[in-house]
Amino acid sequence: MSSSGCPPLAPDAVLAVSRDGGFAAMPGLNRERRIDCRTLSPAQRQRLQAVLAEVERQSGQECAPGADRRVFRVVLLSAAGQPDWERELDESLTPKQVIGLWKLGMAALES
Amino acid sequence: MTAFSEASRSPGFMPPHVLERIVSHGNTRLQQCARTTLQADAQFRLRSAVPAAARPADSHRPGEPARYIYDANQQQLLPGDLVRREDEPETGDTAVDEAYQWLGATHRFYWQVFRRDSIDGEGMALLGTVHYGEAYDNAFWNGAQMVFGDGDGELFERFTAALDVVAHELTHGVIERDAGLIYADQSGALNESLADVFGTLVKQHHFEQRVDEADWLIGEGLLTARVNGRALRSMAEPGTAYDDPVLGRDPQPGHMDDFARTSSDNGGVHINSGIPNRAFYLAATRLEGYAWEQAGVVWYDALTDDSLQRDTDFAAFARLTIAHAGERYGRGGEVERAVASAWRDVGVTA
Ligand SMILES: [Zn+2]
Repeated sequence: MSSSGCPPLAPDAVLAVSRDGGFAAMPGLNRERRIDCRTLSPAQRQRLQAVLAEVERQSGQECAPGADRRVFRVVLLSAAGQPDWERELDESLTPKQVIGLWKLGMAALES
Repeated sequence: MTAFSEASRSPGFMPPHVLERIVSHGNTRLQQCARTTLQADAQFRLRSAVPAAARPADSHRPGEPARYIYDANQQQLLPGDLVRREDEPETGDTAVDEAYQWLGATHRFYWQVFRRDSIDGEGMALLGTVHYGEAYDNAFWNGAQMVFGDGDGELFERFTAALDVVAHELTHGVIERDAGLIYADQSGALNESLADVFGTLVKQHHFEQRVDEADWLIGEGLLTARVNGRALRSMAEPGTAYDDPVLGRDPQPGHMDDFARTSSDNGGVHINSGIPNRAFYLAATRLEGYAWEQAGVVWYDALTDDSLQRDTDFAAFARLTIAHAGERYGRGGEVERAVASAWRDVGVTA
């Protein structure tokens, strides 16, 4: 898997955001949100690209100490379903927009 | 107690096999975390996570806790506003008062059973924050304090509702201080299991339950009535705590044959902990009586043993408990045999 910066979002890429870990790590809480770039306008895709750049910046930070902390995982998939880029972030370092994307989908980036 | 154990075994390097194993998951964050764990001196980390000036005073009375409960007011900023200190009366805020009471019960357990005075054995202040985040479905240890969410009310009640949850989080501090177990793969699952083991022992001790009276559940009372489940984990029967349309089905194995290989949850630390959890349950129930009197002592001896490696696997930990059982209660004796057969029955040792 590439360790370089976030690649540009292809028009047919798919973004998958999931959360795992925590004291209450339970399979039903690990649901994955998928965002298909084919459904996005160029402006939306640009906003999403900016969020991924922020993820890339945060993922360079030191890992949060302790135990039972939750983690967000952001994976960029090619149209063929191949993971092109993947980052994991401790919850405390995860940008608000990523948590919003996971909870609400693209609606989180509209306001 | 173990004041010098960390210094004597906090290496400034990462044993190559550890890095290799974590790299095999292709997970750069895990690798980074493992490196942080290995490099940082646990004592230094505990003390430095909160700036010295901001940290409240430790207890100066041996065997008495120094509790500080904070209110995050639904924000995610730590520690929040200080709302209850040691010896102050109840506030009327259920979460605040539960955190205070359960931290006290946990401190009492460690003091009365093991003569351990708080997390560091030296009266370290116990910091707990409640009302963390909005509808926050988690509790955690951040290296310096405990943090509890209110739960969303749909699936989860507040995370201070169960004594063993509070005790589990405090125990993560003890484990970090004494063993520094890397929070990934088998050492991470063992870290989780030890937090469950001592979490449930605190509960049994507080309610004076013998092994056959205890429920051996983790987080009983945390799930709302809408959830089809009894608790978050079952130490007696891993994999049977819940089976719910929203939360899914309890994935914990109770035997090495079903060991889960996954890159999520730091390599399944909350999943594979079911195996050592069941080993403890089997050992304790075979010995009968109060679990903290023999099985608990053996597990505590192993946890505080300087030879326990930070990247230990289940088998190495099992051997350590068997050795301590023999040392403390006699070689070939009942306790040693109960411990050895428990690990055999979950497939950790042959
Ligand atoms: Zn834990």
